[in-house]
Amino acid sequence: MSHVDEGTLHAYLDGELAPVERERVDTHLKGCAACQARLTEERAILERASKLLGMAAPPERAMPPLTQLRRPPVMWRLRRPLAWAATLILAVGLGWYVRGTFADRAEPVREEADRALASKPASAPTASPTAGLVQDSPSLATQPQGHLAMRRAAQKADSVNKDRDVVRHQLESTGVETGAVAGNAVAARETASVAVLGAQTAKATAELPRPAASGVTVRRQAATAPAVAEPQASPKIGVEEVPIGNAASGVISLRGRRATPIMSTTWPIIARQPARDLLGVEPVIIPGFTVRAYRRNPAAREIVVEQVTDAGTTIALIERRMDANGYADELRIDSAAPHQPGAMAKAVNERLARFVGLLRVEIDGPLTPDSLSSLLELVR
Amino acid sequence: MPDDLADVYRTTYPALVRFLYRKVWDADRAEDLAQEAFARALTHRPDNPRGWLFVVAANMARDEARRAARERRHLTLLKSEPDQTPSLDDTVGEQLDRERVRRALDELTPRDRDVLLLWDAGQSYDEIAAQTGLAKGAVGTTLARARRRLVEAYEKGSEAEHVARG
Repeated sequence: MSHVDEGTLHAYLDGELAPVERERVDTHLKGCAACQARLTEERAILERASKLLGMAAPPERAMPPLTQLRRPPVMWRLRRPLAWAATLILAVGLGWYVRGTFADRAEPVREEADRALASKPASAPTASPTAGLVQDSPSLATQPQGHLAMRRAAQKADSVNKDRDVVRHQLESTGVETGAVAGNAVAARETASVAVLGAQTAKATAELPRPAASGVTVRRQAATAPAVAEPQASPKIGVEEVPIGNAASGVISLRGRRATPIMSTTWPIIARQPARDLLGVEPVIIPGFTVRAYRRNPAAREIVVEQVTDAGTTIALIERRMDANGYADELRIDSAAPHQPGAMAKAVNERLARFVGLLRVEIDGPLTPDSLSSLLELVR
Repeated sequence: MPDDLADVYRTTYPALVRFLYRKVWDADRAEDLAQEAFARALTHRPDNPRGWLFVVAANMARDEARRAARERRHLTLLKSEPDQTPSLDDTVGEQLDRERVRRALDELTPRDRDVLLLWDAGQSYDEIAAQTGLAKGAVGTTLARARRRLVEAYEKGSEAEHVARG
């Protein structure tokens, strides 16, 4: 037999050689001094390496009983370094702060408007409960100048009204929170109405909110410029932004739909062909993973593809067809759920989503967001 | 709960912690991840729990490393506490040794390192082959190379330290 190679020597030392092979190596070693020397050398390396690894071993600790391992996933995150917890608290706190700030900002405008309206009864629009940045009309930024200002303000109010309606309509049809953006337009209309009154009566003019005094963020614009609905700064906690489409003259980027726990596992299983018919296109999958089932949402034109990873984890792809503008074909049932401030924590559960052609694909599964995200990248 | 998984837990948990520790270098995190892996095994009931556990643990450690890197980037301004707080019973010498071994391990290729750590965590050549995709015959060769490189990298690192100290 030829000399024993390094790998075989290590397998020999590790006790991983099959009995027959082991015997052959033993026989060879008896008659080969060179291989004996190498065996000694390799044994020294092996022992040294084991010793080094032993120096980098964790402290021995008691094992928790296996029955205690069924903890909510949140528990094992709690032992993270404090800094991580601090970031989370900071992010959540910031979210609340931003929310609160916008709500507060809306208040002075509304109060001023109410006062102005009370002094001169008119069929002015009522205030919406939410408001964001206020688009000021030029008549408010400068002094009202009679009829010209009045007409401009009225035009502006009109255009803002239209924009507001468009925005609200589009948002409702996509089933996304309407608060921030629509509120924006409402506040703008409201201010414009106040300006109209201001032009009519000197008294009302005196009561107009001054930009500095009211603490409202004021934006000066040319009189004929259309109102621009802008996306609000919203707190983000690991949420992917999904562009939905254009509204008014600004591009609105809306946060992904809040994930209500989908009971997709109870949805009826269908074959691939009906799933394809439902979507109008071939359902997309993560290549390489076994498809366990196609299921359809009994309440919407939506399917779930369940796939099993090599490690046995079940991944759900929630797929629905969008129209060319990125809107859902129909209103989603669960999107009608009112948005609750207390639902902040739920934001963590929002699913990752992306578009594959006209399909909006969300991914769900018991993996880390990182893993889900990279799996979602593979979808086609 | 089936007895087999309870058995696997008893025999494999310490090895899994050991394996994870060399990847995340934080004893608490290693234990958390090992427990999480077993919690998942309870749900998924894999056919070959031992191999499955190490694959899942390796994936979690990789995600963990990425997340840690991201958090470090985010937290640079906050001056967070160090990654691993040395436990009180650690002597300075032990910490130094561990740091040297860690640096030496970092010099191995990912495959060599994985094979070495799997072996050290008590996996057989067959199990290592199944998990890494290596032929069984190649496991010995890989281990031979990984061990030699670890020892060399460690000695080199120690020498460099001596030179640096003068």
